[in-house]
Amino acid sequence: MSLVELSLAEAAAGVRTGEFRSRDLVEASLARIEAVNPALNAVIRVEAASALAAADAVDAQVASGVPLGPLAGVPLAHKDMFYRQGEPSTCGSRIRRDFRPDHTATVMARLAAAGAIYVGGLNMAEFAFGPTGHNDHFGHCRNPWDPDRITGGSSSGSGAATAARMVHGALGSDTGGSVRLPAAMCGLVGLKPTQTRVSRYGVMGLSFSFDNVGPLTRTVLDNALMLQAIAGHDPDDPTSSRHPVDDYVSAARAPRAAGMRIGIARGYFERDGDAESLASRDLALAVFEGLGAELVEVDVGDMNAISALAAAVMGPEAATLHAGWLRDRPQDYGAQMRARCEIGFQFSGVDYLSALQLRPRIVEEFVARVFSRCDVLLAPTFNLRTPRIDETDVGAGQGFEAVISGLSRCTRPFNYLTLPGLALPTPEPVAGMPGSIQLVGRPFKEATLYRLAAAYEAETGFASRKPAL
Amino acid sequence: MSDNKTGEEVFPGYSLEPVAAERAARAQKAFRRVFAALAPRSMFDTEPQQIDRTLPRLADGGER
Repeated sequence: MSLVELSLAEAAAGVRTGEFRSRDLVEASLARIEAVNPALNAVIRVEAASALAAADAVDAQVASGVPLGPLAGVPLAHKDMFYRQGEPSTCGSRIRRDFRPDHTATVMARLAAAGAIYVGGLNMAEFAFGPTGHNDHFGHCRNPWDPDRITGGSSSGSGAATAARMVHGALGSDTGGSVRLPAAMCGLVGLKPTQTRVSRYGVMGLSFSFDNVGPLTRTVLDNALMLQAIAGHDPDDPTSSRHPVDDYVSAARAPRAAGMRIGIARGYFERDGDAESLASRDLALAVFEGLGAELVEVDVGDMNAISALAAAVMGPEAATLHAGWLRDRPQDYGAQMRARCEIGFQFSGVDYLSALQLRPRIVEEFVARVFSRCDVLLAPTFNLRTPRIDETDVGAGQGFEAVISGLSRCTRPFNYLTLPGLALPTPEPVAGMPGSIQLVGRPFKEATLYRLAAAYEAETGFASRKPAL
Repeated sequence: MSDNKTGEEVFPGYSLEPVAAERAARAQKAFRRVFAALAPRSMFDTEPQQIDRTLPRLADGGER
């Protein structure tokens, strides 16, 4: 088996035991990038020399018996918006094409402390504001399962590079579905953690009330390993939570579904859905039932209302961040990015704060309504077939809002609701492409999601499926 | 400064074209309709940071 096929956990274990060197892993990753990236455009910058030097440093630690971090020697790459002091961070934009930040994101520092190797920056929607994977500045990212189809966005390169075995995992950001959608469309595990669970210091902002950093991986355990490395309070991000960090890795290693109550999200989550996509969701429900979980019908309430509330928060926050550049450099924005930001200018200060100040009550009501009846809610991650790149290349033209809202319909309410959501592949593909469900839990219950997901993974074997490249 | 924008300034030196203004107005109208139906009669004694106290409290309970 080629080293690139190994899961993140297997790769880390191989380095630790001396089965192979970190340099072997990094060289295999770089060779894979060279071989398949021209067809996918997932990696927009390769940092080979520094990655090999970092690998050699890990190998020297192994040789000298120095204790290793949990991710030591494993090549990763990340959405190009996590700052590293003095290094490029384009944010998928023309405006920041040459930007070099003066500080390092806490998530980057924590991954480095865990021993992970940074091999490159990944493609993304411009400023992380788009659910498809289109990018007018760096070229569209292509899906490894079918390069004519979208990857999902905005963490497009994170999905494509991980699924195509260029790297063993990647970080993305999720403000309305931007981790879960590319995970879904590329056949991966993707987590949007609870709001405030992961530090956002040094991470490009889009909508600070909804922005989250989360991992995209091929297995549940890999996802838990990455979250374990980055979760927890950060003094540099006062908004990050001091709530205790659970042992996610142990949870992923202790699968459990029997006795768990799984709520089925219908109504809003099924409306306008593709029949084959929903049938694939039903297969996932049958797997959980077969594992001994109890399926219960739950009333999720008015999700359209939550989407409307979310728009009054996300719009003004994005517009505020981009207002100066929109005025001074409008020609440097893609048309869709500009059009979406402009929506935010309409809301008044009272609209914005009303939507934010209503949030605790809405979250509380949702948790009471749903999680009084179940331990975990199951919904589609998206309920459509993965569209082609050309049919969703709509810019700011007629119908662009419908494309965006249709793709992110099932993910965006949970950003307003703050809740953790874990995207997982369905047992069977949908029209030849990966399908996806998401497990949603109470705040800070990521460990519960991992435990349940690990049982489902063992039963379905989804992690063994890979695109033919 | 943008020279292809018309209408009232929404930010110093920046105005929206009519189609963008209409799109933004639709989003605001949808929000206000929802808010009118959901909001309490008064938002007194609320603040955005209350979410930070709410989440840890909601983490507990329920799970089998």
